[in-house]
Amino acid sequence: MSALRATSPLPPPATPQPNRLTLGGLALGGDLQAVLWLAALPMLAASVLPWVMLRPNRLAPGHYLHLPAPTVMLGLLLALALPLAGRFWPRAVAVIAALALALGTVWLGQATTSAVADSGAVARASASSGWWLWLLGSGVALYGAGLIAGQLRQAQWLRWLWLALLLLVLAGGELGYWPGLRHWSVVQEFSVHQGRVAQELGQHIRLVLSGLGLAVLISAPLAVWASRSNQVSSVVMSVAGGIQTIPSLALLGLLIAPLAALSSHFPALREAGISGIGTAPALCAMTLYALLPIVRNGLVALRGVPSGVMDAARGMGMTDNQRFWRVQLPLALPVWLSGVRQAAVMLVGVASVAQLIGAGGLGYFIFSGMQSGAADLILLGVIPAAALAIVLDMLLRALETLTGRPLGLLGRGR
Amino acid sequence: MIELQHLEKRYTNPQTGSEFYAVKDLTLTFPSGEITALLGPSGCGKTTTLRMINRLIEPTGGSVLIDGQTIYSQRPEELRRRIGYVIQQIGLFPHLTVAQNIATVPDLLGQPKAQTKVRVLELLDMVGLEPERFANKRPQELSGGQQQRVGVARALAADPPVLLMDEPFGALDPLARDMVQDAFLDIQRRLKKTIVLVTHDIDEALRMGDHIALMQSGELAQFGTPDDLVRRPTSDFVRQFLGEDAALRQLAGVKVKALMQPSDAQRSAGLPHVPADLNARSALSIMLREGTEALAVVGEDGQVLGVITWRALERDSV
Ligand SMILES: Nc1ncnc2c1ncn2[C@@H]1O[C@H](COP(=O)(O)OP(=O)(O)OP(=O)(O)O)[C@@H](O)[C@H]1O
Ligand SMILES: [Mg+2]
Repeated sequence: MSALRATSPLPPPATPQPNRLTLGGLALGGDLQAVLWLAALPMLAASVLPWVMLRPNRLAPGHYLHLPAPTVMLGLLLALALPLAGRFWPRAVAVIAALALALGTVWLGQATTSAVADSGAVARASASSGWWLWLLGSGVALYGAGLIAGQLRQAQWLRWLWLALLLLVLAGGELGYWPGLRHWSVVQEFSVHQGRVAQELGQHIRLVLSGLGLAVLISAPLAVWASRSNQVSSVVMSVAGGIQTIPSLALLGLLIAPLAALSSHFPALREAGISGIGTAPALCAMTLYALLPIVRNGLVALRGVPSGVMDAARGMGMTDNQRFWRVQLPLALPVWLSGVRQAAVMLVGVASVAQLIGAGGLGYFIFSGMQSGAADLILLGVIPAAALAIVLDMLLRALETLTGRPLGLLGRGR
Repeated sequence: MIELQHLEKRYTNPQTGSEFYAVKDLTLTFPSGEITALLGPSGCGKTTTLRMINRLIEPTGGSVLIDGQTIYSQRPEELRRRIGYVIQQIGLFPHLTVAQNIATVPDLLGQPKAQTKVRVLELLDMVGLEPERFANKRPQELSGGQQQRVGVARALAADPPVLLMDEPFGALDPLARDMVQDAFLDIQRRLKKTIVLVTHDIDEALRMGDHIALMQSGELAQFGTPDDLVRRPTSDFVRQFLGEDAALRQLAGVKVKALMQPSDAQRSAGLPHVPADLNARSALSIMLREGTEALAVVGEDGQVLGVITWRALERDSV
């Protein structure tokens, strides 16, 4: 008995807990507290900085307006509440962060509305450093709240509180309970260009999805082929990696010459709308860019299937095809899909450059805004693009979780 | 019956470019309905030999017959679906439930789903896993021993006459291994499959094998019953490989109830008592300690079942 007991005592389970503040049974990592300070500092500064720049008309020079004194006080208090809550009551951080975002939005509405009310109808009230810093601070605070939620196993709905409050505030502004954002210059710009925004967003989505679709169609067989041979995989990976190193603008330029030559030699291609500028080179470039993440993840995923599983499948009498479709692909899919997701998010960015060769997309607003020095116009391109990237990321993540669930990968952060 | 005829596998060493034999001129018959342990040191060609039987490896010479028929007249996939295959890594499909895993080969053979479903539950029961509890679990929710039981059930699903096993119990801890081995021997007593069991574990070969084929660098060193190898080794290699305590190891794999003679209360009176499922090696040790040549074997209720004698241990299975 004693001999049994003496054999291989298990080492005590390691409990790495560097610099933690423990209070009332709740422990918060010191680095989390630092995140909350990183959120509070820009918010403190934001409270005292100007929130609005008022210009008599779209192109005239403007002057800065601050928040009213009571609001400044509230802003300072809210900012300081973050690290305090982190210290004494971590669960409240999510609520404070959500409140900060929602209230900040209301304040911007108030400030722009009152500014425009005092001047003419063509006056423009754009958001200034105060609002942008406040937005940054609330974003960091929300990020910190997410980290805390992960540690405290907090209720899931608290993670989405910010979205609910924000929608509530926007809806209330729209219905007239409090000043909405309709006098903010970006919104004014939007109401002028509404149709164009929808059109370019549609074109942006079309570009991204077709580029992604083409890339998947090309990468999938490439990845399967590469996963079966070391020579093929090293060639494929270095080509795809090489493409990735070319700046997107340069790649677009490089594609103009060969595509123009092709379309002038083959009238059929020209009739199909393929030429040196426009959608064709943009799609080509986006497809080429998306190859690397999809092939790379596909290769890793396909090769990562345990050799014992593959051997058992063959030993039980599966043909090569059956083995691929029934065993290898289902096991590789979640990791492979995360490559598709990376590519999708990247393509949203690349598509913004497509405007330069006449392919349209949200880049239209970005470049015409840059030319005319109108920051509001740029935002008209940037905000939908960012939202598109976030939505694509969420959708593809959900798909990954769905395919990974049978494998027990659920909730495993990757 | 599986016959290997002058079976040979040559590989080229990529560094030197020279050829070497992984398996060389191997002629051997695995008898029907029995377990033959394919034993030998690491790298002697056991796995290569086994995988040439289900054509996961194609030989460079010689041939394999199963029940007198050459295995090369049908597609390898067809052949493999009629041969059970169990490996050390188990290789269960992680994205499928236990029941779906077991149903793999019947599904490949296109057997009716309803029939397969019944069969799966039957097999789970046979390998000692409660069907209701385990059928819908995922492999990663099971312990190693439970996984290997599922592996065995999966190999038996289409009721193949032949079972190939490559160190099937090698990855299990000693306790789990003992239990799975026992369960497996139990199943085999009923099913009488033709089994080739690759192992480098001498105890496992002595315990599980009706016959043992001992290999040495790609060639057959000796084929015979465990008794033959322990008591009548044909070469120094065989004797050295089994070790000086081979006879004791052999006894360790036998239960006293298999060797005892029935007896009346009179004959067993005064003898030390031992339980019926004690192994014979421990019985021998007790005889040495107690200075006696016989022990009374008792059942769980304490009733005397028989007597085990020194002579019986000595003659074990001769
Ligand atoms: N694909 C291969 N290419 C070259 N040599 C090989 C290949 N497969 C096996 N060998 C060599 O053939 C010999 C026999 O290998 P095998 O896998 O049959 O050994 P084993 O008896 O099963 O060993 P172990 O007990 O370690 O599993 C070894 O020397 C091995 O290195
Ligand atoms: Mg082996």
